[in-house]
Amino acid sequence: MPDIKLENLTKRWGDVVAVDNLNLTIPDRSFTCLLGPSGCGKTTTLRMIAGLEEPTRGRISNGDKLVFCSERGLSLSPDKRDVGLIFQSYALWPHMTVFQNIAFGLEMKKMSRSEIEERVREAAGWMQIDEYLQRYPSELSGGQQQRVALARSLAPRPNCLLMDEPLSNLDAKLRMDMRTELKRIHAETDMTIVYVTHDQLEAISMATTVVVMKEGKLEQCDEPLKLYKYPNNLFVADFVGSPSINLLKGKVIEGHDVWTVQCYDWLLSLKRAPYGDTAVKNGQEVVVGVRCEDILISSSEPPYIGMLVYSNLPTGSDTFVRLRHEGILLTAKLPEPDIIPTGSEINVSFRPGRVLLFDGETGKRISDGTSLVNFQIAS
Amino acid sequence: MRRFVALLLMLSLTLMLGAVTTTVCAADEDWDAIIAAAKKEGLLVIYNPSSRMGEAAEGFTAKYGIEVQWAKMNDVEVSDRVVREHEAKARGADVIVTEDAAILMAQLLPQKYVINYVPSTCKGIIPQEYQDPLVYQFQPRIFGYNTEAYAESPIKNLWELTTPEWHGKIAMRDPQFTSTNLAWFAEIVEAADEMAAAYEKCFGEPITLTTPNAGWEFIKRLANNKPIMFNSDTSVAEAVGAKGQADPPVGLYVLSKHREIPAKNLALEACYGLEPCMGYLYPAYVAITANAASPNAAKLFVSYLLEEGVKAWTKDLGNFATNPTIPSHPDDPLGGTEAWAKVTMPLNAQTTVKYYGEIFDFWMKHAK
Amino acid sequence: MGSYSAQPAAGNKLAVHCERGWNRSKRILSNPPLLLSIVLLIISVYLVVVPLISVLASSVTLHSRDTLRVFGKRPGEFTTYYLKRVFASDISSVLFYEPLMNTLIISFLMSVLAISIGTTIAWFVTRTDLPFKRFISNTAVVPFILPSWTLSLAWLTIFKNRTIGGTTGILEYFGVQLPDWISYGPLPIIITMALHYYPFTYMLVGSAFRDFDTRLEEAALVLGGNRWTILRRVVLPMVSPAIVSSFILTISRGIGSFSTPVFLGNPINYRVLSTRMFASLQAGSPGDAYMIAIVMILLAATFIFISNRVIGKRKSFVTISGQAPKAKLVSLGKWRYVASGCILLFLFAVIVVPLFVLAADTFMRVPGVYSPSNFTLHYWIGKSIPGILDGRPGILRDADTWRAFFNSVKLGLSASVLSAIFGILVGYTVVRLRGTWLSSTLDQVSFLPYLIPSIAFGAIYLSLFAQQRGPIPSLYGTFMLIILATTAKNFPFAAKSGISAMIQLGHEIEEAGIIAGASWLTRMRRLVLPLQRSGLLNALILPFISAMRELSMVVILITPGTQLLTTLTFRYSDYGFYHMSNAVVLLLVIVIIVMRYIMQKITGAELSEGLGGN
Repeated sequence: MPDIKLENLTKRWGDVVAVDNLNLTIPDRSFTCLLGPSGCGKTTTLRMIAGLEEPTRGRISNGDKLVFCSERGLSLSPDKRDVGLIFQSYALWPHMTVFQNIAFGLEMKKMSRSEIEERVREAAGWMQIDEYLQRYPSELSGGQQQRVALARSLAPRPNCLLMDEPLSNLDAKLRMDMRTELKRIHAETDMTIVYVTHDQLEAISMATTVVVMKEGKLEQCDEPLKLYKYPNNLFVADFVGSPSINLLKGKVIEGHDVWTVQCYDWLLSLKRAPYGDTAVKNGQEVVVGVRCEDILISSSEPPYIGMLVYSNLPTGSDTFVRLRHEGILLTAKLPEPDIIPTGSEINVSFRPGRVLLFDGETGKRISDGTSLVNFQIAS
Repeated sequence: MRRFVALLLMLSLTLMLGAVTTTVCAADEDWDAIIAAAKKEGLLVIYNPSSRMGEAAEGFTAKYGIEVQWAKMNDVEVSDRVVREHEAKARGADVIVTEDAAILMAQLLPQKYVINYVPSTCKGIIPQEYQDPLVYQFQPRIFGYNTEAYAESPIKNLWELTTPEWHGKIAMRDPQFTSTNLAWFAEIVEAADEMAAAYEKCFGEPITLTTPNAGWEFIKRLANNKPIMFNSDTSVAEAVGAKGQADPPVGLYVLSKHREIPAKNLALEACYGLEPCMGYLYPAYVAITANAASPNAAKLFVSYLLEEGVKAWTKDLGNFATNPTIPSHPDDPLGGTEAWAKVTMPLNAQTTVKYYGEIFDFWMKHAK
Repeated sequence: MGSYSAQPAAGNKLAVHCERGWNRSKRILSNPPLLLSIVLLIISVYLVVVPLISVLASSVTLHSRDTLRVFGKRPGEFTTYYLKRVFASDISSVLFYEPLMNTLIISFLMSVLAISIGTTIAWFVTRTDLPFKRFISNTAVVPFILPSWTLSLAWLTIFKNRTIGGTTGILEYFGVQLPDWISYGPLPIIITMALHYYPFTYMLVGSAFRDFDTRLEEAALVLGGNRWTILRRVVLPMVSPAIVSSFILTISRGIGSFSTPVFLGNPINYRVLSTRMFASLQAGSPGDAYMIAIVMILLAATFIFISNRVIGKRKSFVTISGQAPKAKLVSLGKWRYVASGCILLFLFAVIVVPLFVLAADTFMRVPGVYSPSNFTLHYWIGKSIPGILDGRPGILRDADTWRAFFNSVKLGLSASVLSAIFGILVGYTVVRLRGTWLSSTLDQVSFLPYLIPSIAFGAIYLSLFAQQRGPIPSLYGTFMLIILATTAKNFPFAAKSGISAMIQLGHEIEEAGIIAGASWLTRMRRLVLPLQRSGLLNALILPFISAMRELSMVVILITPGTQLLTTLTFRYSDYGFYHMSNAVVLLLVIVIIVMRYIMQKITGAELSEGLGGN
């Protein structure tokens, strides 16, 4: 089964551009998440792949089969694109039983009665809803309805399954269970799954590829952990990761071998990573980014700097400590569920190779991961 | 005397108007052929304002076996439908009867929606003056009073109707919707001198005018006296003649309503001797539509109507056939059309046309 | 479907353009909602916009009868004659300005009275511990369900005086001398119309009261206000949008009202715009009539726009976020039963007494004589007696009655089915194509008939379809014309129901079907329509009942062969056959109440549902 390719895909509603010149390849058999805040165009993109929205411009192909091409006025109807779609609201037909709901797509494919019967039972068995086949959707719980929706999409065995925030209506515990279910389905069926969500935790934990979108544009497309460790720009860095990354605005004082960046009254000397970074100019506005878990507490070895503990936020399994120095506030994650008394002064350092630097104007990441070599208070 | 002059005037003017109308006067028609063709057509549709057409229609069907559909509708409706059905080329009326001379003379005939047809059988019988347009009967619309309350007619002169004594006590059909009432007003204006003379006779002094002449003056004062408006002669007759009224009105209604006196237990009589006139005499015109679907049946019916059918009306008092061979009701105190023409104002098509519109507006203005 | 290579077609740009054009047209033609919306738009424009244009045209075109009044012009030529005549001649006062004044005055006063009655009853029912609440609540809306001239006929039966001669009303029979201004004219018109229209206010203000957050009241209580002050300064101002809204609604219905002024105003020549318009048509002056119709439409439209402005700006303030606790009812204390008694008495006087009076009258042999020896069943089941009623038999024996009855039923069925179909299709296309100009145009055109008073609607239909236009033959005098007019008048209600039903359905239900590969027809048949079923019944029954009691629109369009029960009432009273008239109205009332009851049983809907529509 082939890759799904989106080329120069644009969707405009009047003056509003929902999807802006998107170029994306969804790898075959991947679990690809389209991630982003509301209005970023992820649902629109999903619907365009499904064939429910017509793009203003661009091409969509499934392997070497051209499914949409604006130049040639070509647009295959959804049922010919061999996809399944799960709606956020499930969209189960309330006047039909669960059996009839699942069977509908198969009837449209003109299968025989016995074939339909077989397929429906198979899909129901898979989703463990056999006992509900004669019930009506209104008689089922949210989680059960979700399963029916899945079974309905899976029964025709499509080559690609599209999901539009399917778990957002479920409570937290059920959501966790369903995430596991979906991963199981992905592993067992070998389908390509395209999954839309605004929950970055969900995306990171479930996907093989994450596509971050903002205002219709592609921000970054990468494996989840790469996305986490090496975000391409400020937006991605801030969006992915919970709690969000610590960001410090600053200016480059010196930009040769060792970069010296001044953030407020801190002077940070950063050593660049060995491989291919962009150069910086003196006076350039930059943003320094450090993840909570990369802030080291109570280091005894320099470079370190003193900060005051502002507050503790224990979660049971970890503790997040808020640290303060003048106008700078950082959030650090303690490796143990400890509590440091508020007001105590501790030494703070950054994990080597994990300090990210972003250009202050464009937001682009300047280096892969720098290491802190010196920490000073500016005079 | 004045009536005869008026009649002669009517005669000459209609002869003149005859030049305008399209009269179909076949010299000698083959009636057998017509009857045969009519029977083949099988259906005759009539629009007319009288409910007694039913009887005439039944007689026609009985005689010739042709089905008749007749509908009662007022002149405005007749003209509207004829025009619309003509424009739409729809199957509509074959024969129409109308009492509105203006509509006939100014719209239906000249704009060729209907044609004036005189059957050859009737040409020699019906007096010339009633052939163009063809009239099949006359009816007087006269003032009547309640005999229970009054031993004799409480009014001797039309001008009494303009006095405070009769304020709100005159019943008549609403002139807005009754073209013949408006046509009578036109006659009154035309007969201004007579009205002026009658005024002097009534009040003993010459009239002071606030309008161009005594005719207009009468209409104005009548309007100001707030007559009670009704939609039908039946209602007027009942309003006047109902028993048990302490103070009944007088009313202007069609004489033939007297036929209902026994059944409805009314105390009704006409104001004979009213000066200068008891009311007016109006004709009922009959014509054939230009695109009649059953032209032969139509011709046959017109002939039948003039010769026999009119008896459906003349068997009651108050209807006078133009066919002199058909007598009026034996109880007719005056004895025939001409006698009635003397004591009422006969309607003259030319006069109606002359004041058309003006009379309506004048009445509307003053009736408020 | 063949698979297309991912590489663009080789060849020149023209070939690509052609291919694109071809593919595009194929898709548009096979897009049912698009095609459907175009067809629906054409139909609506033809049935709504074109008649409007036609009446505008007719008002400046010389009518064939008026060649006698306007010299030098032929029929069909452009003329400003009617414009001058109606607005700037010496009979304009009679033709237009006085009726206009009368219309405005009685509509205004009638609305004030209706608002007062409606608000009072609404407050008692929703905000106090009134006994017999449920019964009162159900019957309070009945006056609107009955045909609007029922009260007028009842009024005449009781209060008619000698002025127009003939029969007397009950009071005059017992010797009470009634002056004209009690029996006819503005006073009875205002009273009977207010009694007919107050249910609008009752429902609108009632639901505003119901949704009102008691906590606002309680806050005022805590700060020391007494019940009266709170009512005056907190509650009433908060429901003022509902009051204003119902005021404007009532006024615009008042402007278009025809049946009440016809029965109570005509006898003394007290004319309002609607009856003046009708009189001009009867007198053979359609030009004048169309001018007046145009003014009526402009007036009604103005009121509706004002209403939208006023309500749009000041949204209902009554709902506050969070869960509002169940409203605390005002305790009426020892006045409870008095209040209840008064309201019940009022309802009795307004509903039972008129119907009883009408019924009693139909059993009198000779009009005006109210004694037991006068009892007769003649008007109901008597055989034909020459001399009485022109020889007509009792209404249940009269072929005319049955013909009219079946015509009414035929009309109700056809109009409701046609408009239900229209409503579903319009709802579907407007919602599916939301955002396109097609969708919003269709939405607005469907709404237009709401702006046009019924009697004016009848007039514009008369003007338009009297002649052949294009492929449509002349419908003059046909039953089809009445069906079309009734259906078109119902468009706003049908479209509104259809649209809200589709919005409730949501688009995902259908999209799931699209993904599954169902064709448009299959989706409609198996997914969309089955889910509209419950709304459908409502969409059928309400227009049916509405069509059965419609008078003002159809009175212009009927001919002797196409009489309806409503117009039969009218015609009988025109002839002076008041008993027949009353009997037919009673028959109509019975039919309507039965239908309403059936509807309530089947759909479980409240008696008061959907009254805002027509």
